[in-house]
Amino acid sequence: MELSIQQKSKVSTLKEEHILERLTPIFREVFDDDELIPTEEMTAKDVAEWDSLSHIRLIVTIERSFKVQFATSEISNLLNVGHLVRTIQAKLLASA
Amino acid sequence: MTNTNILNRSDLFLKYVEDTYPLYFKAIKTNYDNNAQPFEGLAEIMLGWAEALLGPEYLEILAGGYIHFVNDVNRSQFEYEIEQRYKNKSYDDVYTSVYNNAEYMALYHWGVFTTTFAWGHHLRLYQYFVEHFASRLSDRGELLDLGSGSGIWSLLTLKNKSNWHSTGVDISNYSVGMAKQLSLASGFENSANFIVEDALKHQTKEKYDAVVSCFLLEHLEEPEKLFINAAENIKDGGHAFITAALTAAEIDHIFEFKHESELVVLAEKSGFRVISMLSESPTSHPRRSIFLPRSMALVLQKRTNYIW
Repeated sequence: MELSIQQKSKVSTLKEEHILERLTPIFREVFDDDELIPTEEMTAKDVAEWDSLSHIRLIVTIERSFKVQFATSEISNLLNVGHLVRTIQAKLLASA
Repeated sequence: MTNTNILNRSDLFLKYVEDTYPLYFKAIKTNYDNNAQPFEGLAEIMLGWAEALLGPEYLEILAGGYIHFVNDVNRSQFEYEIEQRYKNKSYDDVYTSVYNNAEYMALYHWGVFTTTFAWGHHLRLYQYFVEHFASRLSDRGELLDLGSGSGIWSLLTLKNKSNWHSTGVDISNYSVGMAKQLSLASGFENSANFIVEDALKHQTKEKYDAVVSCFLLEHLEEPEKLFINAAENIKDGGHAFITAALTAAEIDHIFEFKHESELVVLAEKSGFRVISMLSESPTSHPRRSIFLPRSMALVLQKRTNYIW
């Protein structure tokens, strides 16, 4: 089945690098660091301000920006930024 | 932490959280480093009760409940910062999603249970309870716990005053069931009684020597009714220990206390004089926030005349 222009556009926004690009300003705002560059391998240990409180601020900001919802178990079991990106990707794909 | 090879329960708890939920360990470790002795003292008591009730999986259950609770609290507080009001305003709003949801209540109770020693400001509240409330109680007496939940504050009173007897009142069947199990696990089954009843309506012929009511006020549509019923149930000159959360959002917090003075006025209007009070907040809360979540405790005495 041929994808419509809107569907093609939506699928392109689901690519991991595009999601990571959209996450960059969110990370910078939440962790109050204009130089921060999130990478797939980055974990909470790599960011001094990343604790349980800022983690939820990050998740809620992502939820509002990407229009997705995280379950509590997903929030507490995220391993790194790459895992976060793939979780967002799966949610966007499910709603595409 | 202990230097011996044998780990006590608080060591085991800290290690479990560090290994399983490293992101959530930072705040608990900071609390431990700042308050090692009181942390270990209270954690040993409460973890012992939990192990007796839950068996070998107690650390997994407690930590799981704690993480779930912290996520909920942090999410509610962040959304409160955005909306500048609590999400829910009535008992009906939260009845289905919280109070009548057994799965949620199990996680919730163990989460609240764990914060008693794992959160620095709650630990300081317990120290205050021991030093400024329990210390005023005579050797024997009858305690009423209004909104007893899982029974934590009844049992902690009995731990400090072993010759006392307590009656816990809670509207939730689930909470009363858990409190009864916890009283058995803690060895206080003969001195702690828990009944299903509305804390705002409980009345008995014999008045009580002391009343506790911890973190119920913010769950009520009309919190003044709790102060009034506490005053009606207590003997003249008897002491009460009442706590509340201020500008601290949770899914089931419906009454938004903004100022400490609101609680003082309610207590004084209901027939108490305020003997002592404490307002505590998390030390790690971001300074740029609009709202600073606080836990406030009041030590009250039932007045016998207009002044005191």
